[in-house]
Amino acid sequence: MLRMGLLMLALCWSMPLYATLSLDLMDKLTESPENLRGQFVQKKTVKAFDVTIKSSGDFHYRRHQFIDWHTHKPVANQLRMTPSQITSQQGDQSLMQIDTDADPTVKVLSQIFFAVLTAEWRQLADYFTARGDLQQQNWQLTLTPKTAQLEAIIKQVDLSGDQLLRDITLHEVNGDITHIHLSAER
Amino acid sequence: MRFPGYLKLLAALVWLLVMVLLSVATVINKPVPDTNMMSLLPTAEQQPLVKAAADQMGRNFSQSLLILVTAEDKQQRQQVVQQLQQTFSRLPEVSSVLAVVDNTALQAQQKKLAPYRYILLTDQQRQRLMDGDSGQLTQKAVAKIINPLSSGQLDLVKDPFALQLDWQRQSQPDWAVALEEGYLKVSALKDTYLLVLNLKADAFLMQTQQSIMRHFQQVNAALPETVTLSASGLLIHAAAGAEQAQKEISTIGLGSMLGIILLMCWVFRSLKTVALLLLPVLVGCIVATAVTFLWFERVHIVTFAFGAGLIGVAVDYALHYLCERQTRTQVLSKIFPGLLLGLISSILAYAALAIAPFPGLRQMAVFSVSGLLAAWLTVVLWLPFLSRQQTQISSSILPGLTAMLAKMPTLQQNNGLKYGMLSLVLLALFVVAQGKAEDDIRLLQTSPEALIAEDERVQNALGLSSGTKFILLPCPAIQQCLQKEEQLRPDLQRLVDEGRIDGYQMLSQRLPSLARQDDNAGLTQTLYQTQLKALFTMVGLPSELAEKAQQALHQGLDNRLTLDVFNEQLAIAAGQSRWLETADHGAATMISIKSQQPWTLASLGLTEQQTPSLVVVDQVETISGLLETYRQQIMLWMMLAYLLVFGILLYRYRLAAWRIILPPLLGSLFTFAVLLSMLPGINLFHVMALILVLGIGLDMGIFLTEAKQAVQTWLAVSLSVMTSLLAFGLLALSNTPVLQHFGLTVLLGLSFVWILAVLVRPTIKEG
Repeated sequence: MLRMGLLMLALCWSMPLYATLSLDLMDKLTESPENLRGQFVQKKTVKAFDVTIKSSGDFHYRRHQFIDWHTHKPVANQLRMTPSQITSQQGDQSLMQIDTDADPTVKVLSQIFFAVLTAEWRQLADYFTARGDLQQQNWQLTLTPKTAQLEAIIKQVDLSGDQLLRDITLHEVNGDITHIHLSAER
Repeated sequence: MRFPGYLKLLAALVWLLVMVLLSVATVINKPVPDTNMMSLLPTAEQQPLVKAAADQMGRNFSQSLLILVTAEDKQQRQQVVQQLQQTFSRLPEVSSVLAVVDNTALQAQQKKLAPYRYILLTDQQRQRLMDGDSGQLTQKAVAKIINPLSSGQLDLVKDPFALQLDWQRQSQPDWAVALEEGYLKVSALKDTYLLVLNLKADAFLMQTQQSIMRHFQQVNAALPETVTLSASGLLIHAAAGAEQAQKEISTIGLGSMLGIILLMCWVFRSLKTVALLLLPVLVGCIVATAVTFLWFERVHIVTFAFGAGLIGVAVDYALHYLCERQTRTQVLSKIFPGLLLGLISSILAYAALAIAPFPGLRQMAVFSVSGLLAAWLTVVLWLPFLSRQQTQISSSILPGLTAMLAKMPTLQQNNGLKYGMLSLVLLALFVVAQGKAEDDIRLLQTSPEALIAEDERVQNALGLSSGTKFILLPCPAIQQCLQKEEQLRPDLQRLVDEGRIDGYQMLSQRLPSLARQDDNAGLTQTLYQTQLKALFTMVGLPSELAEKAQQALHQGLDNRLTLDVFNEQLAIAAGQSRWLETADHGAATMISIKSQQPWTLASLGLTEQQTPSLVVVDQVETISGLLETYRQQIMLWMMLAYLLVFGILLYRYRLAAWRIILPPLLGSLFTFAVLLSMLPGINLFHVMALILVLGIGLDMGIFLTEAKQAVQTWLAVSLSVMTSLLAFGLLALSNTPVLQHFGLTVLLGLSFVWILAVLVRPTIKEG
């Protein structure tokens, strides 16, 4: 806590009212625990058909190794992402296995997902420019794609949280919006 | 020759005119040297369909150049790729460069596939549906819909089961690459991008080679150390081989020319004599080059290497003329019969080369015959005018030679020698009878090992299968081929699953047969009937959407992906096509097998009963087979040539003919024996070199016999052997296998011929 306090002091010195956040600063602001479990609620709004698909479940990640994404509702499904692979399971049955190398879109998205969830902010700098602000302990960050490839899929990503990431909102170019709320168990 | 002087002068002038005209015609014609070893060889007598397929697969390989760019820094990597793309796309020799695939191109590709999404099912999807396990596809679809990563790829109405996504993943191109920001990242290597050049012309045109290689090396030289380029493609090897052969021909050619001039100067001590000797050679070379280029569209550089050896033969005529000129003024009338017979025997020997349907040999035959004829005409028509004043041969050589010859034993005199020779012949026969041939075309590869290693590395990293060996599936029309491929696919897939092969590629993976498409339509319809509602309810989507999805299916279910549409819109690159259709011989598709181990139909478990029409096409084996066939044929031709020549010789020289025929005959036998004990086996090019040995050896015997073994004739033949040794023998040092085989054989052969000629000379000197 003392460390956090010093940090805030340093921040206030250079940026009096609102701090303009950089991805480097995000490193210092947020924690990236080795191991984290929690629940998620995901709402995917498909603009073309004006429908929202809700799903919920729990997640568990181990830094640099994997993210497990267990959906409980509407159907049970387990997704495990590793830096190189995504596997999907339903019960004991393996549904699909994607080498992220084989699918550029999935690859970029999974890298971003990894970076965001495990607070590896610097990795994001390859793909996005960041703009954001900080009030008390709460921060907000908007990511805009840097590369043409990403620009074709993603309009922007909104992130917010405190020591931990709380909300992710992905705005796609086609108007679809995916909002994920995370509540970590400390 | 009892012709009036003015006629002789006229003939000399006409010959000058012909020569000038020929040279001018050649320069205007702009000759194109060829470096393709294959173009030396006859086209295999294969079925037209097999040949067409081999040509096409060969083109796929020979008309593209793969370049890998490796650099740790991503931006640097991308810059280099862009730089290469810009450099090469400007070149007229390049038809297209594939380096960056942007999202629009990807989406365009997806859009083109979209109308056929209901009838393009992967083997796995089909299996599930046929097993009645459509629930699994539904669960997979749900997983995709709720997957936080599946953005932008779902169309809940047109493709709620995401059938197209799976299809696209299955029908990736041949190269094991993934896109990184649009660049083709090689999956098996770190920090490496791929760049593909598609060439307009084939890789064997020296112009194409030089242009591409120059630009490649320019870019490469300017790169910082942190970037490495590696390349793979026939062009690299062809260019390296051509460069090496060219370099060697020029250094060896220059070396032998210098050697010959020095030798002549030493013997004759007169620049004028040397000039007179070399003039016919020069004229011969010019005329031979001119005639060959006018006769053939493209002339192989090996033809010139072979031709370089003609210097030794061509110099013979002038040598004999000038040596005779020492002793008398009316030279021509005395030596004309010998000169003519020498010419005829050589021309017969070389012309025999042209009888085989063998482009390379025909070129060499035309080159040799025209060159010899020109040199001969020059001696007969010009030298009488040019050598009016008597030229003196230095006296120090002739007595020395006479003394040496006197000391040498002869076969007739020396019984020990006779039996020694007999046992040598028996030994040689024994070695030759045990000898093996080595016709593998790969032994003739000229590429440096580093280049081959680099090539292999690139090919392995990209997971490429060989373009020279594949399975051909002939059938009346493409649709039948596709159906057969589909029947075959489970077997091949099982081999992959069992790890017995690494992979396979066939057209039907991207273009299912129409019958298969009909079948798929039925399966998809069943999937929708049984699972669509369940899927939408599970995810909580409104039922109107399900109805819309059902309507979309009805609209799209009748679309069929035809070969025409596939070719126009979906074929990834021209160099990847695996099918062909002919007017007269039906159609065929080509199946590539990726495997580290050698394979046959039997080792793949594709038995004849099961798949009677499959043909394995292996161009390496085919060409090696060709080399074998022609090696045997040329041996036969050579024996016939010996018989024919022996007949002519018998007619003129009666029993003395054996003295002429024995040196080349035994010389060839000994050469064979030595080669066989040195090398794993002999090939076509060794045998071809023995034809030269025959030609030169016969000349020698004829002149010696005609001149009754006069010492000046001995000087002439010895000099001509030495010049041939210089011209050809130096080729034995070559790194180009074909040239080396030639050189070594001639070196050995002529040495034996000279020694044998000394040994078989008549005991009592008559001249």
